[in-house]
Amino acid sequence: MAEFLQPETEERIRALCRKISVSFDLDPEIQEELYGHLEDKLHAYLNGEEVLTEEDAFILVQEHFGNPAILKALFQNVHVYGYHVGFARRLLAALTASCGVLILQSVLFCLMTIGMIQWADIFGISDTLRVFIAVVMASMQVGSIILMGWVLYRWQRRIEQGVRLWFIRWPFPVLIGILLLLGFVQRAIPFAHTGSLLNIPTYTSGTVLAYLYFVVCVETSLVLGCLCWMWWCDRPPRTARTLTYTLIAWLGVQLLGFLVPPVQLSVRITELGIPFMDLFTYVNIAQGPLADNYLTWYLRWEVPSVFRIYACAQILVMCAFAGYLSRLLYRLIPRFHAMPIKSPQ
Amino acid sequence: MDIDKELIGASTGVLVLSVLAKEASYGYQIIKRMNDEAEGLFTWQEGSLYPVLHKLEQEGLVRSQWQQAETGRRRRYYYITAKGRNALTARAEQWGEFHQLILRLTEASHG
Repeated sequence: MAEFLQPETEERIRALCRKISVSFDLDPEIQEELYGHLEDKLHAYLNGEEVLTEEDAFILVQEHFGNPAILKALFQNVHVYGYHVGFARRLLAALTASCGVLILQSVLFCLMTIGMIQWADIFGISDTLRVFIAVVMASMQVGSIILMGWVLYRWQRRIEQGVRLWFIRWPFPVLIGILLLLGFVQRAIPFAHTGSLLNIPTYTSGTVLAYLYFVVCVETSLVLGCLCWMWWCDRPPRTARTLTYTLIAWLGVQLLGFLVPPVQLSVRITELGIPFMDLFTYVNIAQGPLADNYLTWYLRWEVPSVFRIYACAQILVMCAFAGYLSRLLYRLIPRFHAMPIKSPQ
Repeated sequence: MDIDKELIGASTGVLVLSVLAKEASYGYQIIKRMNDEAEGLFTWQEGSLYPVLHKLEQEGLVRSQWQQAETGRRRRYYYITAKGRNALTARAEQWGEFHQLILRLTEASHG
């Protein structure tokens, strides 16, 4: 009869008890009580006092057999399976998905801003309207990432069903061409700039909460997007560098997205309206003289350098933080990080 | 025969009080005694006993005390209180009446 348990076993029981956390004051006593129960049960099994049922035996078999997700990955490392998609193709597919979603987001935001300007022209501009725009803009950012994640998830499901999707069949030059085309389209979508009319971005309008919400949404979308990419690219047979390359690619794309100005002149909504039957005034939409993307605005030379430095620093810090956080979160999700690394041939 | 989980959930308090009415016990012992009595009629998630015990203690139906078990280890023993015994009698009566009602109804339905 085993009177004492191994220290490792004791620690495992304690760890299990710690998971049942109630409150700081109550925990030690509750955990001690639960520990006692588990200790008794373990001794009873070891002494043969507790009879193993079929269900108990199955649990043991399952535990000894190993984590099915890891086993699956191990098998996939050994057997070349039909639906294997290389890292480069996965990366190109993820880029295309991101670009597609970004185009949709840009179109929606452009239309929404124009609509808002019309609204503002009729009912006046208020702080509420500014906050509303900031909140919608930020929410769209998160929404677009969720959409991208959903697209990648659907693709993965279809790959596992044996479907040879377009990014598996088509040659690399075609994929790269599509990506460049989408990138061009995205940059060419006019960004409806509102000038001083709505005073976007919000951090100049004094609505601190809206600004904070905006920053949180942007950071969340960066982290979520990065996690989606890592989940998508980190497939067996994985290598030790897969995650690092994915992370670098994601951050690189984010920085490019922030820093590369639009490829054509953006739409500028001026304060001069076109009167309509003396009832209300249509907003005049005209071509602006320069790219008016609100972030690239800060990068323009006529803007005081302090803003430029602030914007660049802010973008860099946000991207770096998002990358670090994503990597950390990815490690914490056992389903993701438990997959074995393919040993070098 | 497996007894419906909802039925077990509704009667856990009475079952625990019944075990404690015979003898003061700690968690694992309560489970063991209950399983011995049940003779495979039902099984339950053992961890869920403790919230039930703590609730009974909050209601004043049982009280607890840390003491040395026969194994030499320190365990939290639960004792039924006078209020607990009254509650057990009342609940057992309720269950009895309910049981009679079900029997009458099912007999009537079977003609």
